[in-house]
Amino acid sequence: VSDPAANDSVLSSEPAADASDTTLFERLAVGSAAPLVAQPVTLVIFGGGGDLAHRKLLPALYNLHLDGLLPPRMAIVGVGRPATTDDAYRAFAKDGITHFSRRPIDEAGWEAFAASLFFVNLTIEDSGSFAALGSRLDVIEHERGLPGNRIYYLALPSAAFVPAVEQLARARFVARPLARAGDSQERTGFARLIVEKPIGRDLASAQAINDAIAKVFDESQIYRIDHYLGKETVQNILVLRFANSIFEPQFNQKYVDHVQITVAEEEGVGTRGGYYEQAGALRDMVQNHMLQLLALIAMEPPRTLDADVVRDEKLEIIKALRPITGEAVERQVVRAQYTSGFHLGTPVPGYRNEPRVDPKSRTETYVALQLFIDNWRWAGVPFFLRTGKRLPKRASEISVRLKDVPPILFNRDAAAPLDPNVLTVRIQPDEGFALGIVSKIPGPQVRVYPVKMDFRYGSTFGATSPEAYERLLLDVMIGDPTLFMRRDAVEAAWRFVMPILDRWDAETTKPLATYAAGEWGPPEARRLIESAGRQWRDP
Amino acid sequence: MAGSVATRAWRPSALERLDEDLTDLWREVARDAPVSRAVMSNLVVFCRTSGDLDVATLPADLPIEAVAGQHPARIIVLYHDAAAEGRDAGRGPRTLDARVGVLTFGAPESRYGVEEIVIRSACDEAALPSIVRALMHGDVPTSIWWTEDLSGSRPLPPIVGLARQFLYDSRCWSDVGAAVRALAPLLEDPFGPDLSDLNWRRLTPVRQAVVHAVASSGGRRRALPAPVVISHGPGEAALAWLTAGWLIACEAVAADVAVEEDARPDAVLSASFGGQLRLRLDAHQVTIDDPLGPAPFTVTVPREDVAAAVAAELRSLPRDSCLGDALAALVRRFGAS
Repeated sequence: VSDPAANDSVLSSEPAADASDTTLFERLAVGSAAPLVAQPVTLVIFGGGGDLAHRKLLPALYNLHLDGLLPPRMAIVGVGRPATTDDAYRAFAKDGITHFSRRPIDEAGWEAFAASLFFVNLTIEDSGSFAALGSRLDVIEHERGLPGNRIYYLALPSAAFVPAVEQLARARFVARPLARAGDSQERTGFARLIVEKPIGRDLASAQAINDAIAKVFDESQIYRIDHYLGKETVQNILVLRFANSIFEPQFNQKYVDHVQITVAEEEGVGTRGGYYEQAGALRDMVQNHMLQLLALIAMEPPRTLDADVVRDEKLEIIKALRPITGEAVERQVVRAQYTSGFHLGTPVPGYRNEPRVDPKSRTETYVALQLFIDNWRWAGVPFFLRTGKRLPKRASEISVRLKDVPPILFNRDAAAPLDPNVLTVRIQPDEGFALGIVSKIPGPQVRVYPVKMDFRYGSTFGATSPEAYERLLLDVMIGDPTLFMRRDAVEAAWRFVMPILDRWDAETTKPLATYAAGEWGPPEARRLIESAGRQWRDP
Repeated sequence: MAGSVATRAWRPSALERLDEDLTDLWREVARDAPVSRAVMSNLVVFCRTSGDLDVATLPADLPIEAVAGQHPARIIVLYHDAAAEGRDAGRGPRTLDARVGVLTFGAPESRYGVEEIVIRSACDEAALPSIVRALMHGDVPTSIWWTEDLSGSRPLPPIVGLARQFLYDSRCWSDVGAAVRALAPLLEDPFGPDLSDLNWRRLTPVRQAVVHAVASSGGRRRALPAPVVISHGPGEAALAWLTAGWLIACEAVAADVAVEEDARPDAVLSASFGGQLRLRLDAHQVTIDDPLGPAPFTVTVPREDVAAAVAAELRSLPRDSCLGDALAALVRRFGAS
């Protein structure tokens, strides 16, 4: 060490004992507080001029930029129609960020971000336009010194997935990873594909899409997005269950009476009637979001947090779902459609009167199900799922209702049973969780009252949480697939819902249950849960 | 989400009846509508004072309420009258003045509140823990926010020993060597608190940029090119020395690191590695120019005010080994106290 008096402004290096064992990169990037480092990359957004890019993707990328989390020199290339210029695309992005970003436009930050945005006109069916895209990408990457790492984001209807991927292959945009990780990728750059849900509209179409993609991309290169899995509260389910000793011992058939998962939307189909007519609530919400939530709340503890270990455990739950087939569909599933009603005092039309909806449509806007997981942990415990449009409020939550205490001491009065303990995980809005417990009311008599221990992300961690897309896009850049759906899980989920869809398809004359907009679903859904001796717990 | 304070309720108090006064305040605040008490940690804000001081006044230069909104904590502002300590040494704890408050945040239907306690103490240093310990919640972490310049104000061991985290801002150091020597005992204590430096947070994009530069050079470098010269603008000496400490601790350079001042008023931090790789930090970004890399690039400096930085540090309880190693390198350079 230098003598400070002799050399006041020098910090001397020290002989390295084991520096040869690690690379310079490893030594600099060490430590829990080390910055997240994604490799420089070009993000190509197919459908870059669409609604998803405008409302979600570009605002998410802008927020990552403000947080200094985007890799340096990154290029974001929107492709699609209508033809536009880079400047017009920047204006389009700025408009989306102004209206939908969780943080306002910061002019200095925007200027730097805008310089990374480009637009290329492209028609999926036209091979020539892919050649033009390739040329433009080469120029952009050369100018920005990018190594050729590319992420292709298919923000497109699922019908366009296969043509887009085939064109990518035809244009030689995709190099498959070699067995030795990093070997070829360092020379040629990696290629990753992001696919938006829904993947297909039934098992066969999902398999067809997955097969077509698999001809071009290795499974390790494919990131199937379900944005629900990027929400902080959803990620917190694993922490809640496996980082706390209080809950996990209770999470089984010995202590849990039943579980409810509610995903309620207050909006109608709006302008998405054309899409929704082909989907319906079961395809749109249950097959993906809700079965993923079910898997997270019910899965066994994974051996590690490695992506495939976690996804293996989730898959086990979906595989363990007792199939609902034939007559059981009538007993365990309710589908319904909203009719005209009110939203916050304003009259709103029924589903069949929405734009681009068949006036005789049989598409369900609501579905409620009773499920069972046939494994040791959950044997006999009913899981009730419900989702719908035009319900009284927007709310997604999971509630785990524990069994009643014995009917002695404070629970002797059968006419006034104690409130059960319920653990509620609120996914949106007002993210957090609450535990309902019973407490004594102060006073001379022993009277009890249900109280709530409530944790809210907003009031506990204060600062605004990142949007789901921010986390998910960053994960793709880093190469962490944990929060993305694997092919086998997607297909297992389709396999579970197909008998229900098939049964419904066969019923063309049975009247569809209905509920007035602004209500919590049809009477049939109430009867479904009441016949099992339970009640819906409204958020 | 956290925003500005919705309501403030305050009352004068005394050490022996703080809890009763707080209980009364909570009742008062909850009279019209329910309010949840939010407490993630104890945050002890240590400020020295001398002479008369009105405890109704919070330190004007510290965004304490904004921190409370982002990281709800029981906030204990401790004004310590060091002069009185000298005058009255050995007379045991004396609290001159105290007040308690409840700040509420959030919409009326989902309000949450945090407690704030302001105390002016004039007692022996050794007696301070008896005050602070009585005010802390035992089941949440405790952080000390040391608001003084460590160059001239050594952390008080009796207080620091209560904390799991010791938070300071090296940007206010007037003498880096003296401040590093003041921190040395905490670094050497295996049971000492975790150190958090607000100024170190500002180095995150710099570290990120250097890591990217190394990654972009395709692993061709075993060490960063020498000689290494780090230049800093006025008031940024600590940032430059922390950069030097980090590079040495990571064994990223095989030669000495020179630190020099750049008198230009807009200068923040720049570094030259062998005259090849160059780095420049300004208020908005870090720019890297590397002849071995494919092209110059920038890393954005995250927008973060002091309150957000403090709240983020309070949430980061795991020990930051990189900061500890960088400081240890500086302790070896400047000598322990």
